[in-house]
Amino acid sequence: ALPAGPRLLKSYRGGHVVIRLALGGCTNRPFFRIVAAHNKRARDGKYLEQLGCLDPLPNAHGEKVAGLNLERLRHWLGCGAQLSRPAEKLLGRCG
Amino acid sequence: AKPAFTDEAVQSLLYKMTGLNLEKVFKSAKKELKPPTYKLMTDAQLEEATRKAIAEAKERLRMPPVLNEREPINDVLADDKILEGTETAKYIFTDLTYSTPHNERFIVVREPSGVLRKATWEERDRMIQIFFPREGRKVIPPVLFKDEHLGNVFQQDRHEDLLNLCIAQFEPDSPDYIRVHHRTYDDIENHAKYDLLRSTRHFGGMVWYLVNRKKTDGLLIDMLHRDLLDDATSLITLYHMLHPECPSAKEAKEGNLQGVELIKVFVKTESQKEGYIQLALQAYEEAMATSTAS
Repeated sequence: ALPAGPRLLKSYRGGHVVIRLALGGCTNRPFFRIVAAHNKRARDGKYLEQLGCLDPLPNAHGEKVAGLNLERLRHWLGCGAQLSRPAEKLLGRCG
Repeated sequence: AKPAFTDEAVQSLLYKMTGLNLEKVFKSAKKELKPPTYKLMTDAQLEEATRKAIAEAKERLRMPPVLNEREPINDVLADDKILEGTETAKYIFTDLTYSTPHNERFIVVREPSGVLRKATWEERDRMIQIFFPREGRKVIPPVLFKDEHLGNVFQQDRHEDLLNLCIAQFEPDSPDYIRVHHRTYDDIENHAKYDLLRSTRHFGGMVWYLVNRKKTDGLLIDMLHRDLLDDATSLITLYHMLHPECPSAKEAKEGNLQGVELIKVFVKTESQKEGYIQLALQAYEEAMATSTAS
């Protein structure tokens, strides 16, 4: 039987929430998801919430498409989340 | 002031002119084949069913809004020279909060030269379609809406399907939508194919366009050929409402004319194809005389 409760919800000692880019997509085709997760989790593992996405390859019109859920971003930043270096760069670019 | 498209009086006139051909409104769109269902009803139930059908037809015949063209956005938010040369492509950032209406979303473009500007309407439409897809729209507008292909559609007499596609794809105030609609109305008027749109929800828009440009002669002739006197009078009242300074409007207000008289006054002062309209009028009057006599 599935061990419920303590096994599924891992509690850390001294970890903190980070907003970072999780890599997904196929070979030679990266695709980032902007995600709020615990510091100690795997890069692509279970996250707390997805806050948006970034497509690093330019599309037919020469644009790199990015989406950001500003309302939830504000919530997590208010809760005291930290940003990874690429996430900082992205948010700096969008102003 | 000039009456707008959304005024009650204007809408009621346009709705009367659209006609209520129930067969055409409820013509089955292509779906899976099912054997038709038959119901056994008394007369009272039949009337009830027709009334409900008329109410639903009224819902389906609600006209799509006619708005002015939207103005291009050219707002520059910031200019950071430090970022120049660091990137190779534009970045488009879209605000994905679920509860903001699409008009108020922030969609921002950061160019490789460091300029941070608001996105143009086409970019906005594309991004909104990518992240919040709507049924019937594509991310890139189909090639069908270019001018050279519109001619093909018109030869096949499929104006109605084209206009439905156009409504699904574009916003009502985008220049593409307005251009396609104007081309369709011009083509219909040049070939006198008014009946294609008669019982659809595009008829009101077409009448509004023609009256604003004073090209109502063909439509008037068509109505007289089909013996629709009420529609002709409502068309002329609408014309007077929109252009109150023309001589026929003043005469009509003085004399408070009705019916055939109104049409004759209108024909004398405004129209370009006087001969045709006089002929049609005479044919109509003869038809009326024979029908009342017999």
